[in-house]
Amino acid sequence: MKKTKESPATPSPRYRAERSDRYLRKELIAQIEEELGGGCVVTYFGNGGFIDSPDVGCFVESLAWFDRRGKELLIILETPGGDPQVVRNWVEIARERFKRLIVAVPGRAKSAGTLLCLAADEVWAGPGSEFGPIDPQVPVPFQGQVVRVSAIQFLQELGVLEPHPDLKQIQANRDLVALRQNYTPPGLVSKVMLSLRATYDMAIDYLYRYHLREVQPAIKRAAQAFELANFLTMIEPPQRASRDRVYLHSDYISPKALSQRGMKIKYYRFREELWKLIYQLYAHYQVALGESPNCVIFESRDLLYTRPA
Amino acid sequence: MGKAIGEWTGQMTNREPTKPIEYATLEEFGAKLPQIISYLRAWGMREAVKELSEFREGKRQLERGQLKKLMSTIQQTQRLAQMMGSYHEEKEASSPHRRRRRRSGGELMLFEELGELELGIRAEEDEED
Repeated sequence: MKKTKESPATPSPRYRAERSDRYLRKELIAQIEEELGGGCVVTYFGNGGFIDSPDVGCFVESLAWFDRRGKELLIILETPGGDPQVVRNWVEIARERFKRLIVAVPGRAKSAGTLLCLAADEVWAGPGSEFGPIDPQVPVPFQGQVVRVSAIQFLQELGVLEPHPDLKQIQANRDLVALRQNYTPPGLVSKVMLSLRATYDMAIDYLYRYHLREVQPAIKRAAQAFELANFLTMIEPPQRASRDRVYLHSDYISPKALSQRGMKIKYYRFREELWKLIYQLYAHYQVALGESPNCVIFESRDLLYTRPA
Repeated sequence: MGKAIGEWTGQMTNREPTKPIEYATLEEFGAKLPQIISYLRAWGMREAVKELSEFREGKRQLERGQLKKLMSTIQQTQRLAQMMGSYHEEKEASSPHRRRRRRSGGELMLFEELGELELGIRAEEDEED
């Protein structure tokens, strides 16, 4: 039988020209991998994109070709947050295959993104990096619609948790009490409590098992894990106004604030070589998504996957 | 390569210790240890449990400050559990289906148990005061 000629390994000039952005990003990822000595995957969630169940498959596929790239995985992460259970799945997959996990945050890793950082051995940050509280946002039925509210604030308003001092006055308002009674169908309070509890458990577990595992003695590690989880879930009762205090789910948490509470954050200056590569890559996604920010991108050297948010 | 942010606070964290390490004593912490150990065991923190057990048996020294900090963070955590637990106790007390709800609330029992544990630690602190 006559052998057919194999297709060339390199793409044709026209094919390459049409996908020049992808080839440029691929080269940047390859350079980062070379510097790191491990694998690199980018997970970029545009403004309207939240970590959701379809992203488990994308994450698995992104890692499918990484066998020969060492024991270290770098996730370059940009996300406004999402489903913590998906993060849980990612962490299990990544931890099973890689000895060491690093999360680089050139922009935002809010909410579930911050939760993912707690499972990393190290977090890389730079100027402009932003983290956020990890209290879950629970869908609550209200006047025929479903609104997402912070579990901690819902429980504070209901009087289950001690309210923020500024909210005590509002609690005395009779209208609000009546409103509260109207929007608590059976089982809802338990559901909200358990969501908070589940996220809190994950945070403690990740911190103790992964992020702080080198902290000795173990009682110091346990104390740091509790302290960080209390701070990030906003369970820590607000005592006085402070620059680092967080009150709302959307609040900004700086890399420095996390570092001062014991997190292992490596801070890069803007012009450092490795950070320049990471930020260059990040800028590519920002520009690429300029016209369609509601998009999710998973990219590694071997794979590019996008989905609408 | 980037630097650890710890360097930002280098003057605070890296300065020479000015006084010798103060070790925890069994007289001060002995009574509270079983509760702390059972709490950490529930979280699956085996190494920390081992350290505390060895401390209780006199085979290991622990820094007083670290043990105090651990206790205060645990108390903060348990405060949440207690508040949640007491909310459910109030609801149950006012409910005609009290028994049935208590039996079915397996997960919520955890909060109640933790709430009781916290009360134990607090009561001891009150005695000390």
